[in-house]
Amino acid sequence: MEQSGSGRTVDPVTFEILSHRLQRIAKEMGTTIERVGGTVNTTQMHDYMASLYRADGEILATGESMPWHVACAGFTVKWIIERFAEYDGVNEDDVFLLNDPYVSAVHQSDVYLISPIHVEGRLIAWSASFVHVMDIGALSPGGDSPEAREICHEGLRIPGIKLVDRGNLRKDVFDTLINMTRRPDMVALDINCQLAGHSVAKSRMRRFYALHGVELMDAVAAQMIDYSERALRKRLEAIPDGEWSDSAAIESREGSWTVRLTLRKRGSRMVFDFTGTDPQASVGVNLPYHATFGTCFEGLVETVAYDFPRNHGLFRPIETIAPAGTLVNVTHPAPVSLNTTSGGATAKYVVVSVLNGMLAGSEAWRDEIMVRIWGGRRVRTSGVNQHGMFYSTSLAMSPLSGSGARATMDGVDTTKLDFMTCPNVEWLEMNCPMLFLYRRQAKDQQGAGRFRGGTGAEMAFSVHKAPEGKIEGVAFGVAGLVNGGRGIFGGYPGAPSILVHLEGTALGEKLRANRVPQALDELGGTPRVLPYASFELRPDDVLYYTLGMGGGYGSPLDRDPPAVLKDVENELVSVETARDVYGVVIDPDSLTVDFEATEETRRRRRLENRGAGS
Amino acid sequence: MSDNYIVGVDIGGTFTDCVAVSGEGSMTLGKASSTPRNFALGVIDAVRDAARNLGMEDERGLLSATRLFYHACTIGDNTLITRSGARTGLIATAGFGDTILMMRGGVVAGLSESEAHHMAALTKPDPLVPKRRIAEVNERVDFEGDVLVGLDEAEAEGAVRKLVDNGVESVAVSLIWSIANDRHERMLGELLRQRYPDLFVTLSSEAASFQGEYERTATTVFNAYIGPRIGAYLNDLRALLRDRGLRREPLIMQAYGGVLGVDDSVRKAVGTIESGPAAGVAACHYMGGLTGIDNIVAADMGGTTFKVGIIREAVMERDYQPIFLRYRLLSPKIWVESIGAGGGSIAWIEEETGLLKVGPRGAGASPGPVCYNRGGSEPTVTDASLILGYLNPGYFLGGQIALDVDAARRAVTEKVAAPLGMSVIEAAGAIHRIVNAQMSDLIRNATIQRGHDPRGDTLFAFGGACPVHAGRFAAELGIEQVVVPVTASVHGAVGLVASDVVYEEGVSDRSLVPVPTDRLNASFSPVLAKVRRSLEDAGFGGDDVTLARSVDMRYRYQVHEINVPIPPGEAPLTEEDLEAVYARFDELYENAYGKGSAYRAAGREIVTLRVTGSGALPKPALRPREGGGEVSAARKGTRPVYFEEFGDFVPTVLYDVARMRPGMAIAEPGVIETPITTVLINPGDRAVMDDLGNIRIAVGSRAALSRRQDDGTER
Repeated sequence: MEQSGSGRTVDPVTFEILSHRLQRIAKEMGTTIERVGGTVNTTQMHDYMASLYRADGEILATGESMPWHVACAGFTVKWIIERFAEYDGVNEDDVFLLNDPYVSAVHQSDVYLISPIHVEGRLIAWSASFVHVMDIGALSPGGDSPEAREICHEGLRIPGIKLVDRGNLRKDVFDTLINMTRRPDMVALDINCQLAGHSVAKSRMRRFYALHGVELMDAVAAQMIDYSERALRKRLEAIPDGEWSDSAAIESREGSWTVRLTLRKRGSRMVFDFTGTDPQASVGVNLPYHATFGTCFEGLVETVAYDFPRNHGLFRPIETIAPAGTLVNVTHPAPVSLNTTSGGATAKYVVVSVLNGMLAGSEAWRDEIMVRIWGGRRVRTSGVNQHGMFYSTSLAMSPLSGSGARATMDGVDTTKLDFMTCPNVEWLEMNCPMLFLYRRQAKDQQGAGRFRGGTGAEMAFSVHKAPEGKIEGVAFGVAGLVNGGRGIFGGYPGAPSILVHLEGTALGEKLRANRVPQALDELGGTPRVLPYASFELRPDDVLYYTLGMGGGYGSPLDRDPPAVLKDVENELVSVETARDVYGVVIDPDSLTVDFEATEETRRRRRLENRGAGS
Repeated sequence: MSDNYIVGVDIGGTFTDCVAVSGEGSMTLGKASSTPRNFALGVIDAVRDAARNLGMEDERGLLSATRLFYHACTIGDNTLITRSGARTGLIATAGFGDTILMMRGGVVAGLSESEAHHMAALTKPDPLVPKRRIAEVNERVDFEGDVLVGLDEAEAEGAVRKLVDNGVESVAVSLIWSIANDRHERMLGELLRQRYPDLFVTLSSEAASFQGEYERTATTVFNAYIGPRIGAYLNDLRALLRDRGLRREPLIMQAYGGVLGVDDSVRKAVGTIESGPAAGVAACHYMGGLTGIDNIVAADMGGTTFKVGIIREAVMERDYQPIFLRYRLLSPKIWVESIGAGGGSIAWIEEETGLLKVGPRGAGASPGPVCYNRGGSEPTVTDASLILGYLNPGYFLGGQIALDVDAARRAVTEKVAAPLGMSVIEAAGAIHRIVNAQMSDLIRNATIQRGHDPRGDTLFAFGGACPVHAGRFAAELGIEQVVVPVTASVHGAVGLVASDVVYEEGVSDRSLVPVPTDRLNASFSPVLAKVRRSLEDAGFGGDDVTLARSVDMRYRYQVHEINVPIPPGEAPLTEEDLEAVYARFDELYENAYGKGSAYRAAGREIVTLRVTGSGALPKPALRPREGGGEVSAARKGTRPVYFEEFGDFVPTVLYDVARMRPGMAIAEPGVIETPITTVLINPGDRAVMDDLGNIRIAVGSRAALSRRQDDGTER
């Protein structure tokens, strides 16, 4: 048995049992947060984090948390240790709160709680959590503020404060915090669910460490991290070395910013170098350094390290270079509130893109290549609902994006392949003054390919029984505006996510004529493609929204004709697209493939392509 | 003597079990091989076997003297697993036909963590209703039930015809907000039934009148998909049983506990899914009632799956949003968590880390463990049990399978011991330690997720593999008593005969606390009436009927709900009653999530109203057995058995359960052999047979307990 970090060896069976139990504690902490939480993000979308850290701040166990935030919270714990060592000390049963993106959060809406865990007066571990709170007192309700031009426009910013002092909640601090938001009751619930999670983690960890002994448990903890590191390094060593570059641009009406990345992989070491990325923006698309690092970590654990226990060991082989003052390492006073769905999504996209490049060079890993969805538009709505109460909620539709194609199979329709789910239409209509006209899978917009990208959803909704006669909204999310994600090896890009505000439609008239319009041309009205902006939806206005769709893998001319026929039968691809893009000729009445015509069409198309290429 | 028997028949993967309880309370068993091609034949075979054990000539004698016949129907589960359901169509509101395909964008429900993390391999399940059999109709109702766009009957007829032309046998109708106003669904239902009387029709407002169109549609579609198959089977079985002399309506087990007649069971087909495992929990509930044990963890470990249920304060824990085949449904059931771990779980070495792992992959029934000699080459938990002396190679399943110890040792040596540099015994012991730790972790996680701390409960261990492991993982869970029920070999069938007729209805109806009592009473009224009517139609009235209301509550804005029971009765609820309900909710909530987790300032709300109506049926009365005698009378020999406390094999006494009498106690390490399982008594444990013939094990002395328990004993 190898020496562990604390110098003690643990037999493999004891290790297996105790490490499994530590993982379970992290998971139970997350479950508690989800069940006590109050916002859609927490309770329906799995947009939260709960994880355990060693006494020195290294990540120990992460449950089912978003890896991005697990990484950021690693910085948070270390920062709290450093900061409070100086003057106030870290005491048993303290809980610290932090949301400063310049320190370690992603943006202010992500509120982290950090708590030390002591056994017999000795610090043995930390628990950390985050919840995307419903409001943070920023310019726009809900936090995502397109009009913000500096971080001071983006709500409260706390670089670390003691919320619970030796087990006593500081009511004055708590009330001050929630008082600076638009929905004190909801933000209180967001904080309370985290406190409940910490309390569960603490009591389990204490009993567990006390029972087995701190020495043994600490040795297990150190060894868990060593194991993950060793396993990842071993795997990386078996993959050919090289250098892979890619770039992607965030485009919005306010400007365009390019993220550039080169991955240099040698042996078991990976350097993600973002040198060359554009200077930071004056709108909130910028990423703090730790968040950029987090995208690299997340990219890794979703691809080549997907099956390893997620802890600090997976950090160790990675280095991230991100020059200060750029989009991927923001400095004061640039804003950040929109970054998850812009800079973050784009950085993540290029990270996976270069990792795909790396996997392509490996016989063993080639089949694990998966095209990634880039991102998409997002909508947050607020106002007074039909029950006379203020509400503010994300529409939370991103789980209905189409995932990208894989090396051996299609992308999956209407899912991002993670733990998130979107709310039911009935849930939204019960809680917000909305009426959905449709929510369905969009046709003909997937990234075509030998394996096609997944289909995303399209939907349209209007205002219904709104006491104020309107819905206030914020349109954000600007990653993947040109396409939902590029294809690879000849695959086509997927259609981008779009948001269109249709003003003055014929909706009321149609409803009175006993018909729910099912297409944009039935609705009429004046369409306006929404930029980063706040907007107001009035009666007879309709918001049309499509989610991004993943790119394809390989040439669509190589797609198996029966697979194309199946897509046509399932109304995901039209007969025209089957012919024009896939070169598959299908009789629209009998729904059968004309194999001869298909072969001929494909032969001609391949010749044309060759001609175009020369 | 005539008309005196209560008979229950439960179909398992290998065997179909029958129990017949006489008017005097004596229990007779029957067993036959299950007959997957036509399960009804196995049912008759098992009844015949029981009849012969009673000294009758064949099944007619027993069936004509049966006053209640219970059955758990596995057709729904089998139909889903083999994807052999009815050709099903779906009618949805225009614009929402894809709801069932989109699954709210979720893809990991029902998957293990390791499956969920492998993004590059994830897919959605194949749809039960493909797109071409989904028809949309132009209509719209809003959240308050206001009709915004009326159903166009001509268009609806066209949609229906399209489905029928497509050859559908069964139609699910699920419209947006049909729970607020079911007018359009009823119109479609009438149209379908009038024009196409042979079609099986399921309306979402009847199948699952709960908010949330995805889950409601999924429930409706599942019902439509399995309903015709269940109908064909049950009607066939009913005719067959009648032909063999049964004069009563067979009663069919529902997954929420309780039984219904054939017609209701077919109409609510989705309610039969996983009713078999529910019967196992019901049997624990029944035995708990007889023995005065109110807080139970019911654990069933077979070859491939480990199932756990909870009974708290004599109430079986329920699940209102179970996941089946990765779809989330709104169909109440007794909560049973299934975990892919059993005797067949495979032990292996992880290549990159060199660590020993057990499961999640299993050898299943075929090829099975190496020691079965049926072609298995991967060492399993059962192989380890055999090596450690826990199983009798010549008496496994009562001697039906001869176990090959040498083959098991070879496999464990080669695949586990040698790579780890251990002896084969150490390796087998390690496999056991790991799997026992996994079980206790999984039970703890699953029960705590339900807000229930298992410490201090009694563990009921049944299924072929459970009594081998139960003493160990009970100790790790802080459980001090294990019961191996006398009925363990036919546990499910016993659960059946102990059940009442139960109708369960619910409705989404959201209101903020404090709720005006008249409003709540008015909302409950039609649900109560519906349940009462169903019971009357089933022939129940007067004192036999118990109606109980309950409400699902939550703190405002939260999604997760807690079911709060209201004391049985139908009298209008008073302010005081409601205050008690609110207080109970706060209490249940803090029990589940810890003190201070309740944020009352957010306000509380009632979201769902539920009514459970039971029609009481006579229960079998098990007779106490005669006790006395020395336990030595039950000795059948000795065998070397490994115990980790000794780090070695020690000569250990074997007992024959058939020769044990109530009061006999075993206070040293030992093995009790039964025809279906082995009960392992670990050092420090003490086993005694109780009056009814259950084996009760007091787990460990206090010292041993606190040493082994991982997280203290305070509750």
